Amino acid sequence: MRSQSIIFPKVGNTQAECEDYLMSDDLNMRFAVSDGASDSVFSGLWAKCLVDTFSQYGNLSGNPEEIINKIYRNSINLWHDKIEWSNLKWNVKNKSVLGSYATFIGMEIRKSEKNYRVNCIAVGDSCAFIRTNKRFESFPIKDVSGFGLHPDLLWSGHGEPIFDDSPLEIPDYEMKNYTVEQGSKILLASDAASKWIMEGGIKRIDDLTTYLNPEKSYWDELRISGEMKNDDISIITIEI
Amino acid sequence: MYEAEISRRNPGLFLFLLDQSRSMSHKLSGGERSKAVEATDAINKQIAELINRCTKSEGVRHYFDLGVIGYGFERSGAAGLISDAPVPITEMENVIKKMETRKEKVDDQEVEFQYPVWFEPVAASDTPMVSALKLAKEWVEKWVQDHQYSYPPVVINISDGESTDGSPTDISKELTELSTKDGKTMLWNCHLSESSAQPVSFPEDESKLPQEKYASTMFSISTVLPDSMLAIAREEYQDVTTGARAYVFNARLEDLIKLLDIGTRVAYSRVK
Repeated sequence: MRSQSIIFPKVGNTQAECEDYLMSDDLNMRFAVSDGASDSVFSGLWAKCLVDTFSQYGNLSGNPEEIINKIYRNSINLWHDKIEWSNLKWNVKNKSVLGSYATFIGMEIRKSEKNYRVNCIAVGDSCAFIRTNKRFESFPIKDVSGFGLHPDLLWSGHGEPIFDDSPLEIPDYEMKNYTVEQGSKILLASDAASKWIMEGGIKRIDDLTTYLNPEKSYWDELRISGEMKNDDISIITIEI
Repeated sequence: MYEAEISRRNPGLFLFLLDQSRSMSHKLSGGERSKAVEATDAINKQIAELINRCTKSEGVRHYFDLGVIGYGFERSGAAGLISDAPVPITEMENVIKKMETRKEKVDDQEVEFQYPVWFEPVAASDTPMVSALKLAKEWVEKWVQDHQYSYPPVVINISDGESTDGSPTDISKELTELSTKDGKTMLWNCHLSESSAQPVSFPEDESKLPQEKYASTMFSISTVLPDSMLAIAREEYQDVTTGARAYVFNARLEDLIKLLDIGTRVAYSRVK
């Protein structure tokens, strides 16, 4: 198995201002992309907390409710602990107490006797693309009209830690499992890149898994020309 | 037109014109508070909201320039209340007069917010609206020269409409002819009155105006809403039709904020 990844900020922003976050762990075959909402503050940090927590607890073969509960609860506490609340300026604090928002997609791949089992969990419009010899599927968004302005989002809460026994409303999420054979190609991407990938179809997936251009200028040009929306972009490609 | 992306490279401009004349000390029709209190509260809240929208984890980003011109605080006087030209919104943090702490319920949870106050109510002298518009024209003229690729300036005049230094019609026309490559400057008017006439929002012709002696002039100098703003105005006010002008009569704080928000929401939706 071989994976590649890129992550770039909006054109005009610095890398430090990028609010996407991704994780590509070939060894444990876990992958995740999270897209922090630009309307909230600390959303890049929130995206990182979700991805880091998934990296630790993302065993997707168990009970889905328990998995999402564990990832979500731990992410909220991690996010809360990372912010120096007492040192925030009034305007940052006013906005922080409203919480951060992010979309999320996580994937775990497990080898079975003949094939591979791919388990996905998603909230919002960061997407996975599964391309095998027999089929091409996207998850959770099925067509380009699904990339709206208001995707489902994971919320960090109002800046309060969550105790183990505190009630926590689990957000709406989607899970899906696939069985894929050796040679299959998989992509994970945040929304702007996902929409662009979907528009390009199977050929674009094949091209990207063959060579994921690491040059920022290439991706900037796509966004400046309007071919892709000017947004942060994260893409992970996996060849099985 | 009115589609330019607002960014740190091409920031937008908001210019508030605040009537501080003696007549602003009168209570707004049907309310307990003076027009001056309503107007300054609205501006303070709206600047805080603009800052909120430009705030990221590391601080405030320079998506907007901001200016506030007061008029009537002294006889025939009109001047910048923050500085003598628009300033980047990032500088507004340095000129806060005081902070107020307020608790508000958000999703059934009580959350503490800090509210900055930049301006206190003033109601002192006559109403030199023409002088204020002339000063606004000077500022906007200079600004558009330097920001030709920016979203067009939005000038918001909050007044009881009684100009004491002549008719504001001609200078308003000159002001709204100033443009960036994305469109002409917009002039919004929030007309506060002690008249008991019913409030009016975004009328498209004079037949919708209240029986109030300054309403016709204030309406006539207000910009016709571009389509993008029309769509948002319709979310708040059902009867808004094509040709509606950026004019609101007897807006109380809540309506005034809504009115200002319609302007800022459209601009903010362009922020990248």
